[in-house]
Amino acid sequence: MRRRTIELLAILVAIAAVCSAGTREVRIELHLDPELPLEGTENVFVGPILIEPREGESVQSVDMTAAKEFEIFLRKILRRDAQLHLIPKRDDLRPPSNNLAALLQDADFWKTIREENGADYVVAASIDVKVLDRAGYTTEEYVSPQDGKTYFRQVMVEETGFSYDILLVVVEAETGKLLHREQITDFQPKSERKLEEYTDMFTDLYTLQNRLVGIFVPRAVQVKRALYAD
Amino acid sequence: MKPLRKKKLLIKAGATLVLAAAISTGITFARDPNVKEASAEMKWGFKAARRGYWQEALMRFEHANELTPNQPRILNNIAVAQEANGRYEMALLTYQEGLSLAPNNSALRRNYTRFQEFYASYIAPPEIADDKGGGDAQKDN
Repeated sequence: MRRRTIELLAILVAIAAVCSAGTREVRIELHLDPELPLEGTENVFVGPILIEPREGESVQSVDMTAAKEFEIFLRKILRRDAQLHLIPKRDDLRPPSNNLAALLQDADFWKTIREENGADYVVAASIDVKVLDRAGYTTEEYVSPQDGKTYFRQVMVEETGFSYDILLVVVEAETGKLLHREQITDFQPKSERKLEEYTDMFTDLYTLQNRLVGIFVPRAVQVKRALYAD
Repeated sequence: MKPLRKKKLLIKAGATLVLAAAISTGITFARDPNVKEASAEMKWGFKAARRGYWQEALMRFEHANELTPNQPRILNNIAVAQEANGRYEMALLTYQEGLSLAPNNSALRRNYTRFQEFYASYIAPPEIADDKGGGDAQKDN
């Protein structure tokens, strides 16, 4: 009797397998055009990287470190991944304003960069980084499984990570015309509460890297799709 | 279970499988010769796709669609091939067409959800707000 049941089940499974759709998972590469149609022979100047703290907040040391690190990171990916020709860094660059929006209105500033450095394009940014490294108690509702009543209890809450707010712009140096703007807002949580190293904060930001590279060069994204075999 | 019994069971299951496949295919092909040709095109298209020849695959799937129109499985393959060929706007429309014919087709729904995530992230962020296919966006798009 038991054998018969097993046989019947096996037959049913076989029929179900025939009737079910025969899909296979395939990996495909989806190609993405760059935001800017560059030829690859252009001279690119990186800077200025401005610090724009949130309203009511002052510039902190972490912002300055972040701005420096961001510039290093940006130069690295533009050179290595986008393979653009970067003009050497200028430490004596003094923008007339620390507000990127105001700078974008000042066409002469970008033209000066072109005249002094021979830049075709200028990649500038404003950055605000907030380090969230705090812990505290909060009150939350709790329904007791014993008596079904609602109680309030104190819960320890930890908020740890980096919060980014970056505005990246690409300006045509000859005209001062804004070609592209990219707003990057992200929160990168960390498992450890104690944050000591700010310097490597950008190194694991794959999303950020992908987005930045995608402005300048074509890229491919690997995806999975189900395909019917017949 | 004895090995002999197990073997017999496996043979029975295999025979049933082959029989069921033969019957279902035979009935379908006898009814419409276009179905047979469309099925062959789907197979060729799938083989081409597996080798990375996506233009060839798309051509095969489109031919299959001409032979037997409005088949969700064919539309699914066309949409995937369109994606692979960089025709994202067309892929979006094809997925939607397929889902309008078969809203519960799991492969179509899964592909569409993944495509939506990709499309929203890289192609046109604000435009793809309405979720026609339904389902939550998956992490691996």
